[in-house]
Amino acid sequence: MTKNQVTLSPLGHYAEGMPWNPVEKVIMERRSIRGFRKQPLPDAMIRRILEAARFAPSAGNAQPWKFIVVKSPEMLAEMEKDARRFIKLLMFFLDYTRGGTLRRMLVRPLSKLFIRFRYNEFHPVPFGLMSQIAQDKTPVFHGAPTLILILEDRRGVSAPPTDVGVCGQNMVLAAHSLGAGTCWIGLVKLLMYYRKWRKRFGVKYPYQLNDCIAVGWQKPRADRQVPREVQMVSWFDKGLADPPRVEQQGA
Amino acid sequence: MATFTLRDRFILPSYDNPEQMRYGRLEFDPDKCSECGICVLVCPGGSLRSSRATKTELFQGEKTIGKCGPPEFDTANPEITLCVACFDCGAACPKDAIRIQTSFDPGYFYKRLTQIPEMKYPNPY
Ligand SMILES: Cc1cc2nc3c(=O)[nH]c(=O)nc-3n(C[C@H](O)[C@H](O)[C@H](O)COP(=O)(O)O)c2cc1C
Repeated sequence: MTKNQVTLSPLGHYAEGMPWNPVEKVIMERRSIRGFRKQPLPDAMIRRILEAARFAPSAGNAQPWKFIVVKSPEMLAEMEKDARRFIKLLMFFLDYTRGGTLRRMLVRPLSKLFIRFRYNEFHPVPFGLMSQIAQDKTPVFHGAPTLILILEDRRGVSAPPTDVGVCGQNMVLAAHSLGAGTCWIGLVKLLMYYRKWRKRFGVKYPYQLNDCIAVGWQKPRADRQVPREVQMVSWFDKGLADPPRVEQQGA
Repeated sequence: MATFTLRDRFILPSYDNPEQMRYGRLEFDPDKCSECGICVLVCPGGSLRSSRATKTELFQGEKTIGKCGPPEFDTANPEITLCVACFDCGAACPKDAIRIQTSFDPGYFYKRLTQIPEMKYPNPY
């Protein structure tokens, strides 16, 4: 395993095979953090993280975003409770992977219909996660002391969800570079099925909420490199008629 | 590279069928493992448990990180681990005692096309 490297390359310089520079180090070692200290980050630090968001690139410089910081422990507890309640209801009707044979048989066709039409939301990964949450085996917001909600302005240029992703990742990288921990949480969108949460956060046209970012101090510290899948990359580097050279990225 | 047939496009895998859904598998090295329970706590899906503590107990502070017992998958069917091989457990493991045995690879409609399973740490180029 590549341990945390002690020597780092300087910024703004490249030589083949040189060690990671500080920016690359943060990118490689950033992990989604799902254990936090109770104590939230200081407000000034959260503002500093928000600055990274404000300066993210966006199509046509549209900056199609709006940020909400949730630090109130009561509100965080209620978000957790409501998200869980909704997931339990959903999984009561859709989780065909649990229960007796009869239940599975009855639930499966409806569930598969839902999956067919909402195949991203009911992908096996969030489906399995929601199944576990419904059984109280894992929380939704990981007990984070702060959530940063990124609202997307749907009137942005070209593909606003891309802008929101870029902007959020800017915050994530800034936060980890400062020693904090973050985790993207897509399940927050389930709260939008509650009128009270839409009202409270002002999520109405042109705004939409898809993801939020949990931030706080890592406990335990878990930023470290992990293996990732190898990619087969096509390089078009010859003539127009030549086929691409397919190269394995990640040797 | 995997091929994606018309049949694959139409059939949704059954999430509870190991023939159609290959979930991640992990290898825990009993010699290195200190049974602290950190991997159980950080698993995103709560699919790990140890003999003396579940993720929920650790998360709610009913049990503490320390002597938790060796980790194992905590799912009804041992083939359906729900593990997506994110390896956040391995990153948090203070003893470097976890290895990925197989990666997550769903079938049919969700089949992975371009990725091949030999997972590697990022290399400087
Ligand atoms: C848009 C988005 C939404 C995510 N939603 C969740 C979520 O709801 N719950 C969760 O535990 N992790 C969530 N994650 C984190 C991923 O599970 C995580 O990035 C992935 O497993 C890779 O692990 P790593 O971030 O440590 O590299 C989300 C990530 C992204 C990019």
